[in-house]
Amino acid sequence: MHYDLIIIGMGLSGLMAAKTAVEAGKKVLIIGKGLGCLTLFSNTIDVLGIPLLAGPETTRLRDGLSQWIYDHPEHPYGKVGVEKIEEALSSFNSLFPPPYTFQSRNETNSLIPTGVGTFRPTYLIPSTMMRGIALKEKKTLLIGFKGYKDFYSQRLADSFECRGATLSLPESPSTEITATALARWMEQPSFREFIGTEVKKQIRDEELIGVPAVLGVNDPMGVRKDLEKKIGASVFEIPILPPSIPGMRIFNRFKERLIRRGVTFLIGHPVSKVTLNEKRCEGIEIAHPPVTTSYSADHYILATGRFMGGGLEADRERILEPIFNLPVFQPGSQEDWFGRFFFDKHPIHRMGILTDSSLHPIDERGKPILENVWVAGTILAGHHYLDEKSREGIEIATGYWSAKKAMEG
Amino acid sequence: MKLQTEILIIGGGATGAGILRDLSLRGIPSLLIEKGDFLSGASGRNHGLFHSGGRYVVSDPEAARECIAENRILRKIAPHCIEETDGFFVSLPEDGPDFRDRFIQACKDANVPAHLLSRDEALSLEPGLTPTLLSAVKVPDGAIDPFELVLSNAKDAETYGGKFLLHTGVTSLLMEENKVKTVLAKDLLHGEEYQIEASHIINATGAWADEFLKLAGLRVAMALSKGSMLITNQRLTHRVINRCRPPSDGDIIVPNHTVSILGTTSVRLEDAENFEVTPQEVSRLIRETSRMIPAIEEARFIRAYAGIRPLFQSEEKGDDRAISRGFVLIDHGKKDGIKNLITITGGKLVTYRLMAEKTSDLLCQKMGIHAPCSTHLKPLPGAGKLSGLKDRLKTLGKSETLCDCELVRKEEVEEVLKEGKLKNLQDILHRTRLAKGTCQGGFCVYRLLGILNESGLAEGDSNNILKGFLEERWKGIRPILWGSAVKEEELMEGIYKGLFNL
Amino acid sequence: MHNSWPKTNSDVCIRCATCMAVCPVSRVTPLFPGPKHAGPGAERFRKPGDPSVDKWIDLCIGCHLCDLVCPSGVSISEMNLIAKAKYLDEKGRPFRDWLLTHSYLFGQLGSFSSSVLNRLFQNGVVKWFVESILGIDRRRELPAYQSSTFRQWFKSHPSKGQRKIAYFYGCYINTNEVEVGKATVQVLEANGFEVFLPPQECCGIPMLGNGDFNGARKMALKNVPSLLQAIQSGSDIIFSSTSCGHMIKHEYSHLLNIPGSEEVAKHTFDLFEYLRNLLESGNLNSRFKKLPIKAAYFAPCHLRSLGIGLPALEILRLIPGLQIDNIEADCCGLGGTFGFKKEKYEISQEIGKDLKEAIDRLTPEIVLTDCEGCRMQIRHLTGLKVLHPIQILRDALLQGIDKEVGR
Ligand SMILES: Cc1cc2nc3c(=O)[nH]c(=O)nc-3n(C[C@H](O)[C@H](O)[C@H](O)COP(=O)(O)OP(=O)(O)OC[C@H]3O[C@@H](n4cnc5c(N)ncnc54)[C@H](O)[C@@H]3O)c2cc1C
Ligand code: SF4
Ligand code: SF4
Repeated sequence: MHYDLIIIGMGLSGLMAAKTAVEAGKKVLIIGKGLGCLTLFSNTIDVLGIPLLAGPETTRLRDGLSQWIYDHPEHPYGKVGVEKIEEALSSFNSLFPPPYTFQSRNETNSLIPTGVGTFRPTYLIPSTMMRGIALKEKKTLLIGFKGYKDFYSQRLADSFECRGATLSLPESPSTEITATALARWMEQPSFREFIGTEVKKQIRDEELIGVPAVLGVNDPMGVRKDLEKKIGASVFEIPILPPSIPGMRIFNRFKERLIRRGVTFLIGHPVSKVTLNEKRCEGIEIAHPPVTTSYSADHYILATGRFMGGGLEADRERILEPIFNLPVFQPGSQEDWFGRFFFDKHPIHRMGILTDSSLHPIDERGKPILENVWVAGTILAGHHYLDEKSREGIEIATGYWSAKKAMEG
Repeated sequence: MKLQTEILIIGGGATGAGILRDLSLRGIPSLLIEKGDFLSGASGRNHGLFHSGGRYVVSDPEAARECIAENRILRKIAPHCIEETDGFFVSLPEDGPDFRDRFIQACKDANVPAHLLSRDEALSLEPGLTPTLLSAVKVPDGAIDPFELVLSNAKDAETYGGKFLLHTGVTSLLMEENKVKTVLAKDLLHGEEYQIEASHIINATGAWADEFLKLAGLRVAMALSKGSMLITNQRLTHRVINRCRPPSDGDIIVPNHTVSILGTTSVRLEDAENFEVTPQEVSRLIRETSRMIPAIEEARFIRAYAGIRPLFQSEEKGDDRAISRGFVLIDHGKKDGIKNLITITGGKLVTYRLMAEKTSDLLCQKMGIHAPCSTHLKPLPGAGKLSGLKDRLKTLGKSETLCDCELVRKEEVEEVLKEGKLKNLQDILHRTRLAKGTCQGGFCVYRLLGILNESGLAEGDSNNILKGFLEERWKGIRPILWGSAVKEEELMEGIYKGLFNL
Repeated sequence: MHNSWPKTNSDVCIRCATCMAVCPVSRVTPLFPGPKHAGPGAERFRKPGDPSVDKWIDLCIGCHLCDLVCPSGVSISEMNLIAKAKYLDEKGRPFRDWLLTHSYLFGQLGSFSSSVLNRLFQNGVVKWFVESILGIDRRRELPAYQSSTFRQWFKSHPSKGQRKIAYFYGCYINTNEVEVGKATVQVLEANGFEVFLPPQECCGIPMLGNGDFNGARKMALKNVPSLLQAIQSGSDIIFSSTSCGHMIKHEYSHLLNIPGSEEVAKHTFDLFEYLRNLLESGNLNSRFKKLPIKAAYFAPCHLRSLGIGLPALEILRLIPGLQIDNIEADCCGLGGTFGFKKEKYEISQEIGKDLKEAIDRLTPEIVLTDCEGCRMQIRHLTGLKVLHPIQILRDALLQGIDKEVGR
């Protein structure tokens, strides 16, 4: 089969690239070996959570970004530019019309409460989490569920200096319940009725009710509204350990829209081979033993993420990019990859694929390697997405930009 | 606070705990103090090989005889601490048959049952072995769970009146011409100070023996040797695999619960507190052990760790392994004129009971009382605990599982918490299999802290404890970060640094 | 034979729990611990000599969804299947499982028995017997057998075309949904193919799904030589049931190690995948008439794990007037014979509920899906008319031919 564009990688960057291309009328194939980090970590959209931008009522993101790019021209953001980053973010936003939207507060970062009792600076916040920002100012009650082992309201309440309560669930005697099962229950009115009544019993003078981010996959705002009606207070979600239900909402929305638009989705099988001819990629093969299937396209985008996604692989000596075997920018040997302490800024995080300003992969001397291949997402070199709190921002911006560039090229 | 006891034991490793139990069974009032938790020393950081004696038959037949005798006793008194796996001594082409033949003869002499298996027999039992092996000799090796062993000893001792203070270190000794008059100790977590008076003091501080004796102005000639080990994510074999050659680096693979432990190395050290596993050791261990089991080259590792052995200088120098691993029992009354001080150190986990028996015998003799040892007859408590892998697997889906990797149930943890006396996170981790599996506590410690808080047991800021744990965890993980372990680490960093912004 | 089981790769699991987010079974019941625990997690606790204690393993529906989303490429469902086989081998299988997995035998009795069987299955006493003695849930309608089999119809149907193509139709089409078989033949003929039916038996997936490797192997050993012969005669093989197709294309070689199965796999295609290839090469007959219908399409699990995208959806979109939406749901919950078992009926229904809700959101007139199990379940759940997409394609292609479709 032949396509205009083949995207390898089904994380946020690949999905953004697919969206951008299909909206321009291109015939698109997107391939994922598995679901990437989206369904594990993503709740809100982090763009740049550096100290300059960390708190509320500080610098506007736009200004912070400009300064950042000025200081770090080699950062992936430097290749996309402030204007296009904003364009990319609003393209992302267009997938989420009300009621479940992603918004910033006054175009600055906000601090949202997390499942470990800390605050995290983040930029675009889903409607179900927005009210969490007010946790510090308003009286809050945190609700956990017995048998759900990834959220401890009491412990969080201690950190946030508010109150916590744990509800016993009607149908789970001693066994445990997973986030996905909880999310599914939340979508049932009878369960909400139960939760509503129980929370009401616990509530004293609190105005805000914080719950783990499990308010259903399909209609979180509907779930929230109904709960609020029953409880009589505002409800917000708190990000928790993986898997991420809000991440699934994002993935599902993309998938639904892209399939409707005619994007071909192939999930579950790895790209086993690429055919290169001089400086062009001519086709790829997907292995599904015992058969392999070939696909070709005019353009290719590599958006396979870092180690978890399989974009990068580490053996005992080296780090490689397994699909195109692109050179990976890396300092030294295994000993040098990580710092002595867990909370160090590890050199391995800066490793990745070097590109030129249009996201073409380049070699050590800066020469483009493949003319019809672009690289997007966290696999790119030159960022510390964890410390910068820039994961989703980099994915959205470079996913968008790589597709734009691919369509030009 | 002033404390008084008949016997004061310093050190809560296998030896100290074994002595506490032995004396308590004999009805002699005893107190044990330990600067950390039980098992903070070598007892919590060893290879977990339940020796048959095979490893020493050629180099140190005396130690081998002790091992096999104790091996037989422990099977009876501590079945819940032991997995009777059997062990192979595998000969590779480069090892040749000579050493093997000497080995078989030496086993016979030392009364260690040994049975020669052909290459095919060995391979059919352990398909992971290299197909190039020449032969294997089967001996009654096994795997021992030191945590279970030491804690069962402590528990039984308590039942018979034995007492202990954990997280309490000796700070100095007040001497009176020919004896130790008072031992000054301090609770290292809460700062409480103790003045302890005892008729006799037993130094069971393992690798710290010399350091402790310095407090009394005494010395014992010993050296420290670091041994490093690697833990795989899964069991590679279901028997202990030894290399049939003179003891050297990387020649033992021990299955232990869900994992296998590869070891060891031997590196001289000056300091018993600060040490880590070096990349060179990691490479050497993988290179050597993969000669016996080629899949090790590709295997997933989940942790590296090291322990310190005390070594005693004997006449001949040379390789540390040539120095006897038998134990040392010193009556400082005879040796140095300090009549109420005894040192017991060296030995093996497997011989801890024998060491305790000999120490207690010496004490009784010095005290002039007749109280026979019964530890070789009386089983340790706890034999009914979940031990087999399938017993754990059976619990899956039946109750709330805190640790998904090692299948540790919430009730199990609550049980441990109920017993009380736990002072920090590591104490809990020592008493359960939490944080010992694939993710090394990445998920379950988060949950544990939640539960501690809910049951009102949390002390201090949970996030500081969590951070401390992640740093501790990091020490074991950093040396093995490649392949799937790097992915796993990205997941953990994604959670704690990214999502949770710790 | 068990030596030939593929080596499991549980070592690469990083405990990320992505698989837990998609497993349809652990979402609805705490009785099943979910893919992360049941697969790579439990694998660390299994020792060769130990008896199986995986009581819950039988609850894995075998949908493969976990495999598809795992970022580390762990073959979770395969691990589960092997564990299930061990568990059931040790514990023994109820006669009910044998019956369910050998329903193809009824088909072989020929059409005369269909009316007897159908009447029997409706009978209250028989239903009681079926439930309490056999353990098949009585709320589940047993499939209705048709009076004339597909094979019988085909015998009297002279197929003509420029190129020959072999059709693996599967048991269910033969005895219960003859219309799907007819539509397949008609569409292929309309594209210039002469269809022939290589000798074939049940593909064996019902046995495999119940961990009966030997039973499945027996079937495969009969089918592979016959399919190879068709290939050697120069034709490709197409299948209209994604379950049979997945079995033949992937499990025959990978799990069952059947000699010749790799060659078969290379020449075996999903019906719509084949049509999409025709489209790509400009050879698809796409003179479709207008079909003003509001339809919803559901991608069966086995289609997803074929890894070919959603070719039926792509082709159906070419039909003018047809408004077709993809149903955003994971698994129908029937899981082959799973949902027939009394102890699993509730679970199967719970999973189905999510699918039903997703369908309700789209308010379609009809539902289309490539797998007979999904069709059965969706009818049971929604009462809507449910067809194989080929039936709609046939209607769009051939005016007036056989307007009465399916059930
Ligand atoms: C790398 C390695 C591998 C090994 N493998 C095996 C094996 O496979 N099988 C086997 O049988 N044996 C093995 N051993 C030997 C075995 O681990 C030891 O012989 C045994 O654990 C010694 O126990 P112990 O109680 O004497 O010493 P330790 O366990 O070291 O206990 C001494 C305790 O004293 C405490 N302490 C020290 N100073 C003070 C103080 N001032 N105040 C209070 N407390 C103090 C320490 O905190 C420590 O807990 C191995 C040893 C090493 C190092
Ligand atoms: S195959 Fe399906 S039912 Fe079985 S574990 Fe995987 S996702 Fe769950
Ligand atoms: S998705 Fe894969 S890697 Fe993640 S927990 Fe499941 S099996 Fe393990």
